[in-house]
Amino acid sequence: MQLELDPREVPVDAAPLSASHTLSPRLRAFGFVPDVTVLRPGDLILVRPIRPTIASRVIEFAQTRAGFVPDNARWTHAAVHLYDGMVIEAAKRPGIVQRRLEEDVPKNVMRIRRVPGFSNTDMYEMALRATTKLGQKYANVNILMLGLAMLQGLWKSARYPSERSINICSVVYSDAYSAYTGRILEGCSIENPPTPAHLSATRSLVDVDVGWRKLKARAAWPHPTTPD
Amino acid sequence: MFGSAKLEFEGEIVRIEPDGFGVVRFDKAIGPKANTHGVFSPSQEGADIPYERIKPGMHVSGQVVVQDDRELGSIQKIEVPLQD
Repeated sequence: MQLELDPREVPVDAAPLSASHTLSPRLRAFGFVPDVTVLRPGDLILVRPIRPTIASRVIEFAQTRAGFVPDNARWTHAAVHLYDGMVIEAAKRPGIVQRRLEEDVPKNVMRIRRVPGFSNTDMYEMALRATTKLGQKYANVNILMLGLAMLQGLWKSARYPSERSINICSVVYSDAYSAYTGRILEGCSIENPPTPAHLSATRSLVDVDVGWRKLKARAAWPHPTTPD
Repeated sequence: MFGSAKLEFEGEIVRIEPDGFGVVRFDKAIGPKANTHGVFSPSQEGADIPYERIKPGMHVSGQVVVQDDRELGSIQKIEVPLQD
């Protein structure tokens, strides 16, 4: 069973939280944020929009054609948690960037995954390796070639375009994992880029139960994020 | 218990990312875990990787450390043949 963070299912009795940073009016109106105090550096964050976009539909279609079951094919984006709700991700523009996790609320469903048995040091090492990709460009051309390969089905011996950079969202996580552990995520390949569906399906990771926190009416800036 | 060992390899570079993370596919499986791939990155202490001379698709040789609990060898040295 997948543990999801779904903004349509926020508990009205969620514990309150004082945000330590500015929040968008949309998020303040929504009134809830993911409980980032549960997150650790190096956690994987899978994302899917509640109302699919053209891009997410294309990715989901390609992942389904590649052979993933719907529960895994529906995850269309991935990011790596760094600290206190800051994540690193590959976006089509401007490339690999840092941003706040809350920007995905309330229009997306999220799912947090983690390497079981990792110590805090392991998690920090993973996160640090992910940051080496900051500032790089997104692999726009190769994502098209990857899509074409996936449409042929990954159960065949279809090959990705591995001779160029393949910076897409899920590669930020898988490369950090392999660079630190010397292992390959179960069900993935070190030569070819994994997709969000790969990261959803892999048994190398387990889901983390992350709840919601209710925003206090007034932010306590500049104090750090703390439970009341 | 095997631990780790430094071995010679020959293989093809199949990936190099802009951050310097790269992957080599070995011509023959190496070590007791029969590793088929090795990885390198700038953060590997003491590694000798001639980034300015290597590119994906290139056939190279070098040295790799394999460990009995890792599927991927840790590339320590890459040598580029003169004809490349």
